Amino acid sequence: MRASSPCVLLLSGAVLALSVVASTTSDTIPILKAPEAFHEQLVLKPLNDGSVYSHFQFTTHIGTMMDDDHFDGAASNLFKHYNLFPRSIGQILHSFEVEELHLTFTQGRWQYSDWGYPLAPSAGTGVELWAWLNDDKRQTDEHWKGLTNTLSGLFCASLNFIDDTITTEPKLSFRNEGLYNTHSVPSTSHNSNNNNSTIPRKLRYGSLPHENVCTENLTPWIKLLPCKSKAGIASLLKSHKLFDTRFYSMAVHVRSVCEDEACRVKSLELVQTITAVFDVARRDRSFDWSLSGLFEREITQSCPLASTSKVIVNLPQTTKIENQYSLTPHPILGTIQTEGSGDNKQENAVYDLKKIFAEATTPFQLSLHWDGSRPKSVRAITPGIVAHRYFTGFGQERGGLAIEIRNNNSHDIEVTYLDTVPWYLKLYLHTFGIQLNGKTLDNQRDLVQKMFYQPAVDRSRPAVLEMTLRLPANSLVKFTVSFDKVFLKYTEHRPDANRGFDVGYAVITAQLPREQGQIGYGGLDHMRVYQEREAGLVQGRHGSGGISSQQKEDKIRVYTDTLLVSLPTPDFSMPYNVITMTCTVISLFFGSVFNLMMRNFEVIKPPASSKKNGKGKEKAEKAERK
Amino acid sequence: MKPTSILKYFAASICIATTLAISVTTNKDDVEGFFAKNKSKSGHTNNWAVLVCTSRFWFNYRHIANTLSMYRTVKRLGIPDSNIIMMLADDVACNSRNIFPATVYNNRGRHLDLYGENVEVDYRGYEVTVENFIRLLTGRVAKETPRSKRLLTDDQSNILIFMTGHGGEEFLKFQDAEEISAHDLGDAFQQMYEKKRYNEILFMIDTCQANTMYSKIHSPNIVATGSSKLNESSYSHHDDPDIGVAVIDRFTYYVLEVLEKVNMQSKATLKDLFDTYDYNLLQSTPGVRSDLFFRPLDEVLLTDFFGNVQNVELTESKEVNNSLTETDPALIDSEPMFIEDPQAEIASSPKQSASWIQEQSHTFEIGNPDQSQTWRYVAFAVLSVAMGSALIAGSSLV
Repeated sequence: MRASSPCVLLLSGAVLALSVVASTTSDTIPILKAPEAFHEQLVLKPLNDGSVYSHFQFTTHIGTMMDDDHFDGAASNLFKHYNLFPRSIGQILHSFEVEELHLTFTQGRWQYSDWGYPLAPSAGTGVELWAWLNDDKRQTDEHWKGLTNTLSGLFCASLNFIDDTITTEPKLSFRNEGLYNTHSVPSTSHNSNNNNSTIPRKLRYGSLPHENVCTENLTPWIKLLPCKSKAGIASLLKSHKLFDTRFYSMAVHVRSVCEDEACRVKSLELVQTITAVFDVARRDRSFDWSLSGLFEREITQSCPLASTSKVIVNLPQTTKIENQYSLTPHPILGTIQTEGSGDNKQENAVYDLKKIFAEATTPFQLSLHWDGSRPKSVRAITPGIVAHRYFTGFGQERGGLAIEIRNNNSHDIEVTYLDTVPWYLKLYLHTFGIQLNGKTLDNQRDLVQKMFYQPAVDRSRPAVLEMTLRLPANSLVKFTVSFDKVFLKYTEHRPDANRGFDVGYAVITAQLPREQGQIGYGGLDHMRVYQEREAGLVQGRHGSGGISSQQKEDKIRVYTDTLLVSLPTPDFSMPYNVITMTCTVISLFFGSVFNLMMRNFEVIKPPASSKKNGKGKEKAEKAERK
Repeated sequence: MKPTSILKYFAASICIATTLAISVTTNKDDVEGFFAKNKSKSGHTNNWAVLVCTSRFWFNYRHIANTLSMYRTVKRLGIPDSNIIMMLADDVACNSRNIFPATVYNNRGRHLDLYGENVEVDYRGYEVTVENFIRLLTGRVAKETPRSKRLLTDDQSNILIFMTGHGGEEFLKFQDAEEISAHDLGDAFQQMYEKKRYNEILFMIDTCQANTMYSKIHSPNIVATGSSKLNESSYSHHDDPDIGVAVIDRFTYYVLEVLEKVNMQSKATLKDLFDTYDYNLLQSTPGVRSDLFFRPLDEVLLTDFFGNVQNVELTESKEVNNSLTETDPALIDSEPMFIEDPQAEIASSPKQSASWIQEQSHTFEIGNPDQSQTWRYVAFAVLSVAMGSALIAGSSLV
């Protein structure tokens, strides 16, 4: 950590404030408040099919004040002074008592078989929002509603549609990523009650598969950064190029992390990421790329508020020895970092923008040129777990849902499967069947270790199917479930009813050993500066000696595609047709019957001699009109 | 009996006339004394814009472009994003059909990207419904609605309401599924009037048979303009062969031609805008409704509605009984009591006085309130006497 005067001032001011607080309140013990810090990184990786994967990560840390008895990372009184941490997020966390928040906007489809696993774990199309909320006042549902609405106003998205019919509470997936995971830190001498704190927390998860992402979502996201898009790596964010990509994902993550190994000092971490996969060959017809070609912008200065500012290029590991590409500016030997060895070797070229802009004032240029303009002999990626989910059947009455999960590893893997099915598809759990490598499995207990099923309630909550599976090595597992389609009321259809309804993705969570070929390899620890300490703490707690230091594991999530289902759609002009026909029939029928019944016909004797027919007619008419 | 009764009637009518004249003149002086020097100023302090595009689907690209053009204009003339509520029923910028991603153009030449880098869409997609629109206007939104989705206007706000989409006789279609009728709109404006949610409204609508849409408005201080009259359609202007659909409507296109020449210091008026309406260019008959608007149109600046230019009053002398001292509770406590001034009695509780002061600053009792008050009491008393005598005379007649 840089020793700079604002940090020292902040620290001393915080210590003073804490001592004052301690003198007034008897129960609190003054604990050091960690200073604020902001880090920015950009990872670029050329993929095997020529696309370029880019991952922006902006991390802001804010120290928290807490006492031994009551640590609430978000709900505590830390948000009195906003410097680098954005005020809008801080106020949201405070008023809705949010411990952890993860919001992701995604456009496009992540191709796991070709690209491996992304650094940002959430890759499901649409909007995904999940949060761990403080439940000690039993107001989780109101807080969740307020949270979705406030975020919809902040990010200009229709997050307010995440209501009861979409919200779920997964029991096995989406565990805490921060301090309050179920494997809590064992008590040490200083913080006996801290991490096993008795404050109950509730998880809420919701996703909108049809929500589209555009510049109006990016604009407020950029405004959360300390330097906005004026300086530093964020100046590359140009919406016209970012939304012209094969995959675009933008996320905000908030969680509590430990600042030191003993976890005496904690801080709140805000991570903002943008993931984009550029289709370079489509426009330029060559696989060479450069920063100015990809983003149409240049980095002219580094962000003065950033503690670290780095651009990292994952160098392609070609199978032949001689270099088949050239990277300019050539990374000086000292700034190449290597992870692993042999087959698992991954080299990264790290450009420290702080140093570069301290020496030169020209904008930072970066480009990669392939020999012969095509990537050759690049090592293939084989992701460990891939999944495919699709509808089966035909017609508008019933159908089936099928999920195929393939385990490409050479050993058994335990995965958690989460599927949220909307209420208008009535699942029949008795039709649940499993096929292992093409053969129907009789004893499902071999594969399915835990299952949690929440049946749907019409117009009230969705069906949730969550399972813990033990997938055998090199196998293909297929699940099938049948459902009936509900005939909706005609007001429940969307304005563009003939498009159909979107069914969200399924999420498969697994702990995979880190292997070369996965994008996360060699990158994740550099990204989340504090993740390694967390991972170390988790391993220490488990005490599992089987995991060697080389064989690290990553928690990855595989998202299947979103699906589109067409429910029986009525003819919306029918109410009009019915009304006009009914009115016509009634008027004709009623009119004539009423006349027939109410008309009184009287026989009128024509008068004797002198009066003509004219007067007689008048009399007759008068009688009729009565 | 009759001559005396005639005399009584005569006296009563004279009394009534004079008292009315006095009360009306003093009232008007007070009302316009603070914010406006003469009748031509509008007296607004803030500007809001509600821009609604009600059409979904790719072939209605031009309606989104209309709305975004207006958005760009009002932003350029100073209205901040916090005072603009934009409702877009579909997303065309990041639509997979759009070969220019994250852009919306209103011109074949593609000179100007309306989406830009800094855009805020408050209601989008399926949220654009008649219910949400009316709730927004009347302020009856759900408790958890965020601030950026609320119309936080007060009685000194000038609101520009621009609607575009497909419409017909006294209705406007929302997303191909529901309609808002002219009666609904008139009632919503009446609710706004009763709740003092606007100072003046400019209602501009670009649809087929648009002029019918404002025929049912019955609240004061609203000026409305539409692109075509009953049984006439409004037409699109031109299309872009690369995008594949029409990119702008005629009415909006020609209105923008006028507005592009306006800047924040411009003195162009609404009458100048309405005078540019030309049937040959628009191929429809645009209309203007100004019978509910009490200022002459040639004195209403375009920036009163499209921009955020506020009236500023420079005070020359520090007045004792004006709002400058009343906003500071500390001063109130130290000030000697004004017996006539009801605020002093509440000065003991600062919180109450603060809220009372807020309301007080909105009533036009600045200058010399006592004078007009006593005149009004006198007028009321004389009027009641005159009415009583008239009644007696009338009853004696019968």
